Amino acid sequence: MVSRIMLLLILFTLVPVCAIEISEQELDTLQRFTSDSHKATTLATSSVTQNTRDPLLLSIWERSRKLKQLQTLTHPAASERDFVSTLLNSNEILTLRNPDHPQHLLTIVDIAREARATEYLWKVNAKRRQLHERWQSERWNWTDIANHTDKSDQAALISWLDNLHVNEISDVADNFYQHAEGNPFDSNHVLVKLALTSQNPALLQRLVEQPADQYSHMALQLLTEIEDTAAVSTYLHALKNSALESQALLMLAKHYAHYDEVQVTLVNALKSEKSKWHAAMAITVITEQNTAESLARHIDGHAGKANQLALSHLLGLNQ
Amino acid sequence: MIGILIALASLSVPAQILTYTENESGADKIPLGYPVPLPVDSLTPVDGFRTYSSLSLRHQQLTEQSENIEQHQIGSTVEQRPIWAYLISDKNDVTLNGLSEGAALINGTIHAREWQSPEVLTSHMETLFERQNDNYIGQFLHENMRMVMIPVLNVDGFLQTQRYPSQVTSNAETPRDGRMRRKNMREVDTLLTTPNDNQKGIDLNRNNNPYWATSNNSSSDIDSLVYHGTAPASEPETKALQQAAKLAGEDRLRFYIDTHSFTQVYLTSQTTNQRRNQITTRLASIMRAVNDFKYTYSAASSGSGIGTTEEYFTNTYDIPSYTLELEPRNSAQDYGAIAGGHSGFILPNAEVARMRDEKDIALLVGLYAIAQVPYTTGIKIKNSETQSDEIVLEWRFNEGSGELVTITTGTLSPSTSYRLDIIFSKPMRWLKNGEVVDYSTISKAQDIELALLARSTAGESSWNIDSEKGEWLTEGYARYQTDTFSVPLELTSDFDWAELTYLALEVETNDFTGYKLDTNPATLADWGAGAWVNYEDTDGQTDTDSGGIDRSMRLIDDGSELYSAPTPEPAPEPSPPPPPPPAGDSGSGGSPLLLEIFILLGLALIRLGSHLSSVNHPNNNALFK
Repeated sequence: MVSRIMLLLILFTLVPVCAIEISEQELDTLQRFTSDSHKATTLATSSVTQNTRDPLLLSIWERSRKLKQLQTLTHPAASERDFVSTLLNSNEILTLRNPDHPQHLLTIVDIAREARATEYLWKVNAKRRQLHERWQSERWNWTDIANHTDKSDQAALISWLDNLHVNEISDVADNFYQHAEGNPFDSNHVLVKLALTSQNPALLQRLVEQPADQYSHMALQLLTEIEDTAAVSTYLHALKNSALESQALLMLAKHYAHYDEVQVTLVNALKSEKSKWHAAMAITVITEQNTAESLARHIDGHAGKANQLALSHLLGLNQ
Repeated sequence: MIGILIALASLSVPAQILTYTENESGADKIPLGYPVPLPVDSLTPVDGFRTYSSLSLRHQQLTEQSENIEQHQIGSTVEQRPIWAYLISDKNDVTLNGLSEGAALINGTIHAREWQSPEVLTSHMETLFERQNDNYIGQFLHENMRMVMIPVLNVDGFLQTQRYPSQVTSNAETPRDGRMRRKNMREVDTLLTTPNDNQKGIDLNRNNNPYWATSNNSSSDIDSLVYHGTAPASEPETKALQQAAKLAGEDRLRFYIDTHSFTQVYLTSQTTNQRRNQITTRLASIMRAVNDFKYTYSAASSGSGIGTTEEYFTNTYDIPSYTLELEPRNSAQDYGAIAGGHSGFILPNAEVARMRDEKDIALLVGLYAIAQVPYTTGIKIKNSETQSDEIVLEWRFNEGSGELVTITTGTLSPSTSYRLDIIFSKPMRWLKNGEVVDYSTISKAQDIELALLARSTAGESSWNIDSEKGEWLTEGYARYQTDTFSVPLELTSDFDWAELTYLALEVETNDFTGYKLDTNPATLADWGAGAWVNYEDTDGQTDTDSGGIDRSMRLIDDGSELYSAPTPEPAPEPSPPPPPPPAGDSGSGGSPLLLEIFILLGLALIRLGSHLSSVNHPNNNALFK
């Protein structure tokens, strides 16, 4: 029995403390001092460091910093790979009391998670480089790329598109358009990236015809950054997609109501049973007096409550 | 010395600005592993989050479109923006039975960065709008509750987070301001680059009585994330929330939720009112059940607090009150993302629509349960062959008192086919795709027992009614789907109406949240003093908050008391002494395994003690002084 107890004792002392709860002051100090790693090292070994826990906290903190620095690499060295690999099963975690929920701890540093994130980002970086090489060497095949369903493949593709040189965007967009014809896709992520950066009218049109997802909504929000004619045309086309209709009406009223074509659209939407309330509320965001005057002339204030609301807003602006 | 140098250095240095990215890493970047959500201008819900202006337009739209939704300004923010509340109810202030309607207050977006909250609050409004004529729970709530929603209390702070949807200051571990602003905008400008003001503002969820400034979980430092302000309710936003309670009706208030994120839990505080505590726990279970208990529950003991609005409502109004922390439980890692910690405040767009739906239904069942306890409102017995009504009884109500009225009087005969309809005060069953189904583990789809109880000169007798042959009606119901149970009734040859001096229908059932019937509709159940009032159980007791078996529906009334006099309970027999512990196989030495466990426990306590002491006494910590 004694030997079993000894074994348990040894095992217990070998298991490191998994999660360490730190105070806000401790975190503040870690953040301030480790902005300069030299200073941190000096402090860690100086006579000021009297508490036995300080070096442990600093070493965990430094490992976390190191991992974040390594995340940007495209070609990690073998030693760097080894370093990250040894941390994948680390149970070093620093937590802080969650201000929202004092019984709950908020994870501030989680070495294993950060090591996994580092490896993942390396993978994304490497795959992005491969994609670039494939494009450069004209070995590009969208169908082949679409078959790569790993999360990092998609992330690499998006990252590559984000970093495309302006001269290449148009070619990639054209190439993608040819592939996209007749090929449905699960997510609009790639389509949105290319449509927005290339401003390719065919891709923009395709984007709003697709079943809407989070990327379509974000794209419509960012369309104001492209040239007005292309943006207005895309918003008008988006009105046919019921999931995008309200957003398109609101964006048109907010940013492009001075265009005649947009005013006609808003008035027509007011006449539609399905769209009238979205149109009426969209019209209430118009603040420019000339636009309000012009629009008010075409709205029949007696044609229901939605029309009334829109008209009273526009007339109010002119008083 | 070092501290002074740091303090001096920070006096004029603009805050470091960091940017959330999808996958891009770098010195000033925080990769999330999913697209950084941008607020979208859309009135209709999107896969993601809407801008404050479009949320406000949406609320106004619903107000314009529905007579049951009113917009009220309950105050103004620090930056003088209006704070809006929406009262959702039908136009009268009474329930269908004539009582004053109960009231519920649902608050949102006290903490600016918790974008889940305004989406969920707006979704609650959208759902109640869509369901106002659903002949089911939505309509029941419109007709029997006053529901006040505040989608965004901290308007200034929320706008600040939307101004910088991907930017924060300070550091990656505990980011502040921009997308991660928590507090209101007291003493803060909207620029992230202004030195030394990014941390300011007041935590509105630490600004409340009765436990204002009584805890280490709030702070007197204006730079602290949990700065409690200079006095309780010092902030106009806090005062606006208190004003909303007046709008709801302070004397009718019986439910409060403050909607936050994240950690996926219903938090509450206990008080010395045990009945309220039990009802609060039960309601939480009802709401959690509909989400398959993915949300946890935590009740803090009474007598202390940290200054939250939940504590204010719990202690001021003695009602079930919750701080609801929406998902995720841990961080965006719960959805496979690479970011941890604070990413929990940035719910991926792809999760938003599902979360909204889940929490809408959870709120509906919570409101449904607290709006009214169930009771029978009438019965109808129809001859199945002639289709004529033989007996119709109804409870009629006036100012909270009920009287059983005979609408159609008749007799019942043996060997005749009848159909018995029992009508209840509310929808009684959970529907999924139009079908009556179990409600989680709380109630079964059928769950009803019926019998006829009789007395005659020969004695007492009863006839069971086979409720398995009956159904909860989703068509042909009285007012709401499933408010009526319809069952065939055929009496055996020994039934003789003429011989009977008393005949009553016995009904044992519950609504789908598990509340049994108020057994005496003559005194309608209501809410008061932190518990149900006049909610009689089987024996007529009103302090059990449980309801019971209803025998109030008398087809032949002999004028006897509804509840028999309580019979004294027999004195409990003395409990037998506990059995002796089993003898260990090593005699007096006890179990070696137990000894090992004790040693390990001892070591763990020593280790925990040293760990806690270093955490709780930071002054002992030389480096981190």
